[in-house]
Amino acid sequence: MSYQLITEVDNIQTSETDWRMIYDPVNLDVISSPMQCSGYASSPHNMVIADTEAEVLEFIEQEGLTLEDIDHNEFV
Amino acid sequence: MIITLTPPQNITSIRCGESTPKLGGVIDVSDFTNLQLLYCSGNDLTEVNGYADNPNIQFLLIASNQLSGPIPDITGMSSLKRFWVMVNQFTGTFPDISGNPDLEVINVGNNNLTGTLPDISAIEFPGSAWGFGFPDLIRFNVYGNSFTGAIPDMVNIPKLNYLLADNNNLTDFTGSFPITLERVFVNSNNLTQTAVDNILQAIVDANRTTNMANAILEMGGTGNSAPSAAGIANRNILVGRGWTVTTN
Repeated sequence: MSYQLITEVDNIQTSETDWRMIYDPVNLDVISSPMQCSGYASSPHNMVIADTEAEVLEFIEQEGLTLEDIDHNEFV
Repeated sequence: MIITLTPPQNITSIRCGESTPKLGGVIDVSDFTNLQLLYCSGNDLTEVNGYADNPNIQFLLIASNQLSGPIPDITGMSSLKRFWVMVNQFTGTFPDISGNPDLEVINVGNNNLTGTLPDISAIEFPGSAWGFGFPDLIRFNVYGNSFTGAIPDMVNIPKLNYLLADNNNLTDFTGSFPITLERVFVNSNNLTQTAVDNILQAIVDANRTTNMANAILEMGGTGNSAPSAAGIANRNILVGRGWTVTTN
């Protein structure tokens, strides 16, 4: 598994091909689900950048993060 | 064995459930005149008929099916609170919601809708206590379509919590947001720098400073402009308040 864990998320640049995810290191909730989206991110939380979605999902599983699909599907 | 069927008019809730293979084909609920809940998300239905003029339905949950064609006219669904039709193949324009004053959640995401979004704060409900807008709307989710034009002003949406409008072709925003707004996804549109700056300013002005754990503003992605210097200053204000912010 290859990923980059960033704990000081201050204007971190990602490209269109990067997969990124932001999570709260205190309560282990995923704040922003794995997505490909270029830009500059700033956050009080932690950020993971990887080449593939699978790598991000593996990180989530390994770290026991809570990934609720609260945004784009909303299934009850 | 005697089987007694409940008359359709006595049924207030229908849940399709989940099965393997998934439930496909066409269902028609027009005989269920007192239906309040229809929950058939996550199946392979190609048509759901007979709901669009039922004034008693409060929860219409038919996401993730194979539904296509225009979204029916729902203006007769005067009790509608939750309208989930995301992840289908609906075409046409955003539905007319001028007959749905009780809306709490609307999600038309991941369809093939086009056209502009309505100015939802300007929709008038004559005779209501509030006049304009949707006092109970908490989620306005329109992501993954081909909407153009402006993100609506949310001045008369006082409880809005989620605005998920990413992956469209939206270009503009002028207006304000309520303090309740917590999750804003407008990434991967065609937002102008003025629109990006206006969104940042509106969120600063909303002045949310508590319960910030999930506060996030996504404005990056292909198509959106970068903020100006003034926008960057507002982005920094938001980050200082605990927002997660991405921009180009």
